Amino acid sequence: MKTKYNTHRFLFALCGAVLIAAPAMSVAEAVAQEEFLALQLRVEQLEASLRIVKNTQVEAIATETFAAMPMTQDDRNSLIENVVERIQAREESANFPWMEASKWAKLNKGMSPEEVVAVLDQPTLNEPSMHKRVDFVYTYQGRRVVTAKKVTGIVRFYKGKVIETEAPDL
Amino acid sequence: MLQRKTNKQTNNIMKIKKELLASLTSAALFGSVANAEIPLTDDLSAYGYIDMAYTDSDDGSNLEGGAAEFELGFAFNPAESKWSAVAELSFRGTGDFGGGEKVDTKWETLTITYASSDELSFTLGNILSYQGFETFDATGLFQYSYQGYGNSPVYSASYAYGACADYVTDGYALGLWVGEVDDSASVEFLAAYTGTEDLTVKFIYANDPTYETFNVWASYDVGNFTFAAEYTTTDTVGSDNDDAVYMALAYYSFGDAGLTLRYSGGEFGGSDFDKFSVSPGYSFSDNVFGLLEVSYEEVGEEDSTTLAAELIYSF
Repeated sequence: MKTKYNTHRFLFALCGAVLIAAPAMSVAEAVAQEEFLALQLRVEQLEASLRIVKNTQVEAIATETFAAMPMTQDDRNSLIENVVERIQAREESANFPWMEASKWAKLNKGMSPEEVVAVLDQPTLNEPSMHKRVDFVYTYQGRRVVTAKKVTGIVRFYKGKVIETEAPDL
Repeated sequence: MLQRKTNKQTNNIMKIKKELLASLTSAALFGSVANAEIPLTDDLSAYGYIDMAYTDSDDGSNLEGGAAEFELGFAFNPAESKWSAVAELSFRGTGDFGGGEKVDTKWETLTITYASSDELSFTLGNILSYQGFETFDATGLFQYSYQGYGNSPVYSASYAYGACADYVTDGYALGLWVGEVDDSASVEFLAAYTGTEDLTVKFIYANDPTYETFNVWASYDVGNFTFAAEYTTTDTVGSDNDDAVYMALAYYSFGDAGLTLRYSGGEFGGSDFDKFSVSPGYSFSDNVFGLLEVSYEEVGEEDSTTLAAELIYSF
């Protein structure tokens, strides 16, 4: 039997113990799960605040710029809204290129993982599935820039081909 | 609980997944490991599973089970490097595992790989045998038990230290593993055909100072069915009880649910046996899978029926 390397077992057990013990030894410095979750919530709140600040700044800059231009008030407001929307769309496209319904419409059964990535970019998660007829799952996850709504899209593969997609609610 | 076996494809799929976004503290990692969210780095990913299983047989044995295994693996796959590594730890219960009293900790895959091209790679370390349609890990099985009687795997090898070279294309794969046992070489050779869609055929030959094994299997998907057949024969040095086991399996997918029927039989461990298993399963999500199994075994003149229930959470 190949497995008759009993003389190495003590060394493996020792290595395993070190690996397991390492996190335990750093307990004093580690962050408790509750603290982590609280920090995570705080980060989300800060991100939401930052989003508002950025949007406000963009609107303020645009308002200041267009105020000096010879336009009617309605034209100015319309132009400002268009510019803000364009900036937000660009930010979303840069951070979450898959957040376009038209891209999900391009996905078809039988596509390869490379073809999916070419359309949607890299997934947020790439993990195996317990379904017997699914090998692995691409998960696309993120928040809309304007609304901060969390959206999720799923692409499932079997034998290297797309067998199922769940487009995000955009 | 007996060890499970896997084929290389299934294991590789499990190893290269899980590229997560952010970093996390060790407390969060081990505190919420069952939540399928283990953020590491772009180059380092983590994966694993928890396997809960219970069995009960009418052969006089008591209800057995609990937390059968917790496996935790790390894969290092720098995007721009030809080098990669995998380290897997397996925690298996040897007694009241549910109460944490006796736990057997082992390395499973522990490898460093150099990919000289998209097709050719060289690996050194503790490597899983090429043998077997039935996977080593519970996550890849269509049912709870192995095809041998008494929930025994019928393959002659599982993990072993050595080196292997693998050449894999879309149409075929070749592999050679070389190790050392008692100052003698132990080798395994794989030839696989994957050139026809939905069909996989593998032939494995193992030559060790203590045994010689031929293992051939084929699986074919047609519609919602998966069919598989396997033949494994092992000649053990110094023993008159050579093994020769046949297996046939049919699986039907009803979407999230599935049903497995399996027959195995032949000569194994010095006894003639027949075994028939029926196993309905259900995927509760991409991470959670549960199944039931009823197996009827006839070993020599003795027969028994075994019930099993299993729940697996993978992450």
